[in-house]
Amino acid sequence: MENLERSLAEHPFLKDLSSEHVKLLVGCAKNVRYAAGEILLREGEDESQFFLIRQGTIAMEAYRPGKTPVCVETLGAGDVLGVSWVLEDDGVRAGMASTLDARARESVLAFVLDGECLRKKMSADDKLGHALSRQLLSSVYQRLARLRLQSLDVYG
Amino acid sequence: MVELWTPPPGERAHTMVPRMLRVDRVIRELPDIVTLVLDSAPMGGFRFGPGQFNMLYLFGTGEVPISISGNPVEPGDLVHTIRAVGQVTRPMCQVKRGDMLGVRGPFGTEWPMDDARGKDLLIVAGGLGLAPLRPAIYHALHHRSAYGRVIVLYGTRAPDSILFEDELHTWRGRFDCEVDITVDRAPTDFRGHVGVVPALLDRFSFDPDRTVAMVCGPEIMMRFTARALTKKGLPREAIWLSVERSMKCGMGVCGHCQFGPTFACKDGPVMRYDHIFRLLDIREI
Amino acid sequence: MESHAPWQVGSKAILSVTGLGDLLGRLWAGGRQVVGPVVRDGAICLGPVRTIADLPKGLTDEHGPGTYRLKPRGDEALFGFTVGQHAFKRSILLPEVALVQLRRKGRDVEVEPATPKTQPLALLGVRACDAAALGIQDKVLCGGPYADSDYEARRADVLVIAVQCTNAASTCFCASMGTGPHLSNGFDLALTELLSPTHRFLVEVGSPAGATLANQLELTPVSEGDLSDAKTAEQAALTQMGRHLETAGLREKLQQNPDDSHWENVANRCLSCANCTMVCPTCFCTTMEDRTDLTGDIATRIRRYDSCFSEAFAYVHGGSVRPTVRARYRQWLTHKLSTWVDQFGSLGCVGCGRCITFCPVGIDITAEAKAVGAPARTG
Repeated sequence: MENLERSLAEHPFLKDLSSEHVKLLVGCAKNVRYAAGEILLREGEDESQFFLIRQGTIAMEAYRPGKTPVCVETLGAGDVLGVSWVLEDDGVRAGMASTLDARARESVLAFVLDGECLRKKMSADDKLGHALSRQLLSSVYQRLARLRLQSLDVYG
Repeated sequence: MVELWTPPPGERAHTMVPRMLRVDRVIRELPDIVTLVLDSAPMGGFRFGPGQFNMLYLFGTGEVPISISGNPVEPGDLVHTIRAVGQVTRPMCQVKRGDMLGVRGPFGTEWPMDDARGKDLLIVAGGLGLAPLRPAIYHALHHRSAYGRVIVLYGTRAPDSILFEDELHTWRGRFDCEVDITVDRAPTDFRGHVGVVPALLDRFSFDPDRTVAMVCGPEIMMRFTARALTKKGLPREAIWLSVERSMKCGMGVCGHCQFGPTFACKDGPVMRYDHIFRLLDIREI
Repeated sequence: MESHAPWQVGSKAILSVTGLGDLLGRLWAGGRQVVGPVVRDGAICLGPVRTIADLPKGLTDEHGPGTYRLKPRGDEALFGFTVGQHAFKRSILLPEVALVQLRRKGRDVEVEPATPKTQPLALLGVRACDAAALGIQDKVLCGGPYADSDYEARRADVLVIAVQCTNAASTCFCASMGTGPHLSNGFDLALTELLSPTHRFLVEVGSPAGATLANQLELTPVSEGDLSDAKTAEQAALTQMGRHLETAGLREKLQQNPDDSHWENVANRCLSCANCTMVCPTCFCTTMEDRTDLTGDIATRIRRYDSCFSEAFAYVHGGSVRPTVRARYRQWLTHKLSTWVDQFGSLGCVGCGRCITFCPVGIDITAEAKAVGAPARTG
């Protein structure tokens, strides 16, 4: 347990959290290894789990009938995957299922945190809720900014 | 008679007259990108610094500024890599072995290979921007012990538009050179990264105190790459970009390449980010 | 003391009107083409001046934003006007010139540099503003590590026969730019035209070549009266000068205000016609173009004037860096009155006012420069 706590605290997503807050999250987390080719999240699936990627590459892929599948983004160590679990209990969750397949391109090591468990902890502790929401917004915004640039087709 | 304004001491060149050199090899890199190898032996080889460019002339058509993409250590071959995109470059990409092209140059500033000695080199290229950086990579690998880490990060549209792919593989295979590629989108069997160059930067850790970054690509890509590098702690003084503007003379007398108070042809193309970051934020400058 | 000591640099003397004719004759006889003011199509242009009959006798020019008219002066003055649309640059930085000729023979291409066919020049009637402009272009085109060899060849043998300005226009602001109206150097001979009691010229020798020339002319010693007449005449130019440009802080102000709303204000009036750049005596931008003969085997590389007001000027593969008139006007004004200092150590404007006069919509560089970065306008 102490090992899990220490390595959780080292993940870039959680590194700004206080040690008490990290300790609170340990109960929601497990350490999982995915084999190459394994799907972590499938298009249309609920994002009920939060992935903190520790190692390996995950390809975000779209399946297109009649065309070859396409990868539009790769995620790696330090990135996170699946964030809409955070909205579950305030009734606004609609259309927030995964838009793409997340496939382990090689062996992937990740912390998997249960969304419901996280939500409970966040409701019980406003400060934790605030800290985690802030991290989530920052990460989502960074991803959004990058995807906007990516959509520009700058290389001509 | 009124005296002419006296030029500064040193050699002055009068070079509106091209030297005609023969095309020795034509390498089709990508559907719209061609590398032309000119035989510079008749003029005793062609010396240039990494980052410099030539004005290339196609008979009866016109002249365009093209960065030299060859090996500065092998001055016999004069190498340019050209994208067929404009009125001059489109027919220029159609030339055959044995045809002649006019050359004026070399012009412009160089990548800071001397200033970067003893430092880690972070070479970030986007699209055709790898061509002006290739001489810097050749230089660094030739003088390998002069530098710390050599990191080459390359972004392009898709796996089928990777320039100099074989060489990227060769460099990646060396123990002393880190190479990584990112594309905007890819088939699922692609093994590199998919995403923008700043995302790729995040996958690397480098020491901001001992890294010199050389960035070349579309201006927008350089803008967001340079910003991402400063966010990672690199001082602006350690970031170098290669600026592209219209040029008719290459030597500061035609006025076309003005970029704020600078002339891209003689103050550039390679410029230090702290000198130009404000200019890069001015629209239509 | 009937015989004068040889005239030297700094000497002043009196030249009669016929003496000026004699000077012209000697210059032509010495193989020199004299380029100066001539009347053409209702304007004072620059052209060959063989005799004093070619000069715009008894004429003056009325300037205003977008307005230019010749008017009779009611006297015999030969230099009684200010400036026309031509600047002397057109004799040195030619509007169009062949630089290289190439011949295709099979797969070979032979290169023949076009050696400039230069004739020694004498520029007659150069005002202080235009003399300053020549100096600025010398620095731009010959001052760097590379020189424009065609310009340099043409510039190598040019006599400047200046005229002290005694007739400023409402569009003039050389005093603001520190270039005039009095010309104290940069000439071989400088004439001050004096109209009464007799029509004559005060001549000042500005260079050894000017002294050599002076010593071939019939000059008479200058009197206190001549000097005081010249002073009065020159004073007139200062009082007539119609415009002012505040240059203190101008360089910084323009570079710091690229997004000022006034740029859009000018763009709404500017036709992007490039007239201002064509009449400007310091604008130096050129482009290169290829012309081939009918067989396609001979190509000539032509250099010709270009303008930052054309959309193609800043074309980088795929499009122009400055697609809007707003950006192009900003480029021109900011270059002229700001970045020129960074590039060449001086402002790029000499205050001749041509761009104001010959702008078809009367855009006034002094007013626009003042308005950019000014505190918020009301109403």
